[in-house]
Amino acid sequence: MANQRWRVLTDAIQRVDPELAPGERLCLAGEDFLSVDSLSIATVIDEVYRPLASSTPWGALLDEAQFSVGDGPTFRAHGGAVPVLAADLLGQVGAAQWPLFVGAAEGEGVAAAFAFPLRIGAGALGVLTGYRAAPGGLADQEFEDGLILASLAGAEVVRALALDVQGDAEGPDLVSYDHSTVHFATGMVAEQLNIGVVEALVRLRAYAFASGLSLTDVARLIADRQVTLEP
Amino acid sequence: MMKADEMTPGGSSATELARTFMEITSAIANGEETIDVFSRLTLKCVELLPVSAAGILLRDADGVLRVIGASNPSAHLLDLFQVQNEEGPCLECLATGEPIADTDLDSAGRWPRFAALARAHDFSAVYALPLHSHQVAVGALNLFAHTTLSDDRLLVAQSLADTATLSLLHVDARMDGSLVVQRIRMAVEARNTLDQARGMLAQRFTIDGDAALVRLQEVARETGLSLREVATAVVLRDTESPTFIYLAE
Repeated sequence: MANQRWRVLTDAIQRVDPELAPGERLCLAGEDFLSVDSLSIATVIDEVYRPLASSTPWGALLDEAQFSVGDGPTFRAHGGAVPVLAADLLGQVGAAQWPLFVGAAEGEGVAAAFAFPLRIGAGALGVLTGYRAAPGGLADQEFEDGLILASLAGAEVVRALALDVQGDAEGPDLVSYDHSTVHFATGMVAEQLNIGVVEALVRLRAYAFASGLSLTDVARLIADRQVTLEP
Repeated sequence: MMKADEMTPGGSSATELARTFMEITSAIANGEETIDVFSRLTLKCVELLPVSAAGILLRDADGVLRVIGASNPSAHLLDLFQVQNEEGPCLECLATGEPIADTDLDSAGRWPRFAALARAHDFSAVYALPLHSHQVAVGALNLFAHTTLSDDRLLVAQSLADTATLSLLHVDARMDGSLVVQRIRMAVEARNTLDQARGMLAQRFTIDGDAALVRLQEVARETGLSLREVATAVVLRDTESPTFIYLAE
């Protein structure tokens, strides 16, 4: 029983060339919904920036510029709870707000940036950012779509991280699961292995994939102390 | 005309009700966070109404119902909330925007799985009352009782549900739909954080999830921090937070 808007967005992503990586498909499909000229996903794990996907090389470059100078809406949004919306980056207010980024913004011809933090509970995963060459804010529907795309992008980041662990693109879907139990088990694994919650969730997902169980089932086994993940 | 200290049919006095509404609305006005407001509110439901459990669910961006606050976080109750993503009064309440009551819990009825599960826990009546924002139901207050509630009591319950909605609308003058969607997302992630923190403490002290929640609530009271702030400090292992000292063995 999916929300109508959620379905519209996931359907649009499905229609993009299936040969492309899932993150790329999300960015390409999402661009139109936010009326932006570029949409990109930046992952930031343990404070290390890594590009995941972008609908244009321009957006990837703008993400990178922000993380290298340590300023800008995307940089600010990371780790936060709310989107950072800069409708007029080059205006007086924008220039004062982003002193270290405004030079690069001007050089690259970007006038507006909308950055949505990606998170799983307290675990920060990175940022989804839409860039526009012309100034102007997001309409309400665009903002809501941005929040939904950020949820989808967060699930995609976890999937991509799990790839490094399990070495296979397949794995349980991070969209439909018993949240309360999965996050509880994630906390248990994080504590037991003395790792962050993002890494713990990735480990849990990899275990589910290897054992052929669902994420919820693995979480229940861990919560009931019937399964312990090895360091 | 009822005297101020006269008992209402459900057992709570008018003064008590008035005090509750005042307490909750002032908490919201003071910027108390949604998960704290919701857990306070569900506890009040159990105190003021003849119900044994209460929970508040919100519809997340993906359409899935998520429990944000519950009077008691026991696993069987969580299952009763969870199953309502497939069938049950909450789902119907969200779909119709109307309050839903089920006082039969007939296993051959509208939602056989849910009814059987509720009866297995000795409940005989279940209610789902809508949380409305702009004529759209964005969530529901779910009540589990051993007896049927009178119309008077249901009115009190619906008022409590309306008060819960205030917590999603407050904060900004720009009370548009998008903002509510954002507040819901924030409440869901705050709840996720709380569950992560419960898991960490359960592992650290070899306690169950309920005891871990009690522990986090105690720390929130002692430090004056919100439940979300305490949970975040635990999950991020923030050694600068006062939480750290309270949870050192």
